[in-house]
Amino acid sequence: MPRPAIIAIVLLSLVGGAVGAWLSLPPSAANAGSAPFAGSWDPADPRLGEKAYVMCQGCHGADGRGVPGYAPALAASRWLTGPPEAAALIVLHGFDSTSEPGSAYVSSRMLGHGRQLTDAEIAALLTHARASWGNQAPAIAAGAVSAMRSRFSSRSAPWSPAELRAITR
Amino acid sequence: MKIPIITTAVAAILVIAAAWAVSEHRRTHHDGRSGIPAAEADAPPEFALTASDGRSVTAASLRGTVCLIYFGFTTCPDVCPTELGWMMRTLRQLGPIADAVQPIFISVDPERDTPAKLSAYAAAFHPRMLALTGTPDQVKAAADAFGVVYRKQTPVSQQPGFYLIDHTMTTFVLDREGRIVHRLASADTTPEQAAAMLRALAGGAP
Ligand code: HEC
Repeated sequence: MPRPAIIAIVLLSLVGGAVGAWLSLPPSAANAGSAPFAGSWDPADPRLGEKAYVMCQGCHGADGRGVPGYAPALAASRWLTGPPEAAALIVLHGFDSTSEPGSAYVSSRMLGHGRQLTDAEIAALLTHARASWGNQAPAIAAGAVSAMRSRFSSRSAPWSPAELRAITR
Repeated sequence: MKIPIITTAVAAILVIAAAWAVSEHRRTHHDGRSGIPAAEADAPPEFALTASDGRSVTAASLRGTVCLIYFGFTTCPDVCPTELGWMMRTLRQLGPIADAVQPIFISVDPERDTPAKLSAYAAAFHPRMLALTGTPDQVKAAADAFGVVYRKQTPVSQQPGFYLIDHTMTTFVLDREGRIVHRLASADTTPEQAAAMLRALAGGAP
């Protein structure tokens, strides 16, 4: 190939990549590539959990009741109120039950929030949600979230129920 | 094997077209790259809205204050909390100078975002965040003034009254004269970089 053609093709692929990067990607996909900026709230704020839950309410509702066919209720959610490890991993990397027989969320899955939230923020919002809307599960400590973050530091894809069951068994 | 000159020419044309498409897209959708000041000629955007506490807030009433403005809606799934979280992180980076910056959330969902919902939403992010809304016409006028576009999406759930809204996800930085001096997004500006820009604007005596 003559050199100009090669240069043109290289340029083309660079520009193509750039177009892809600039076009409005789905928000979470875009965030996945950008620098994390967790730590939006004052860690000493006694209402940290309630405030940081604002990250979840758009889908799961301020009342924890979810939106049928869009996002499940967190009130009486077995995944939320079950083992702290599973709850932490769902927030860190997301949740995808679409492969489960009978999943109500065949077309939507949840992406992770690990890059927008600190371990303390995740622990606080989970503790808040585990004690709201009729839920009565014990608090989760920031250390439990940190342990999951470091144990699965190379993970980015959402977890399937089967994977979470294997981890928390 | 020899590739004819025509292939080279076609490839070159494609490159130019793609580059144009990118710049055009950025101009119309993303409102420019982080940190690049908007054109000096930009007139300050004018608007008249109502705060969640009932106060009326206009562009004129905010003159003299450096503002961070983001348009969204309180049931916005991911983008709004992410961008507002980024805004809060930026303010935390600023330390005491943050007091000289007014964070503002403008709802593009006057139908569902009641004052009570707006107050609670804004308070979750920042104690001083102003949450503004208005009549659908006022909101539209404000969005137009900033070049913000928003549009209801077809419902993704059967739930009555449920819909999402596509909207521009830019955080606008207004200087004390009310001019847009930066158009930012969490995807390409770190809170540290944004804080440096704000420090330059709000750091000195008013
Ligand atoms: C963009 C929308 C969205 C956001 C924001 C979101 N989630 Fe989810 N979440 C979902 C969807 C959709 C599912 C179901 C996914 C599936 O089953 O495939 C889900 C599932 C879950 C589950 C499992 C529920 C169950 O019983 O099946 C938990 C727990 C959960 N989310 C917690 C959270 C928390 C805590 C936050 C805030 C940090 C959050 N989610 C933010 C959309 C979201």
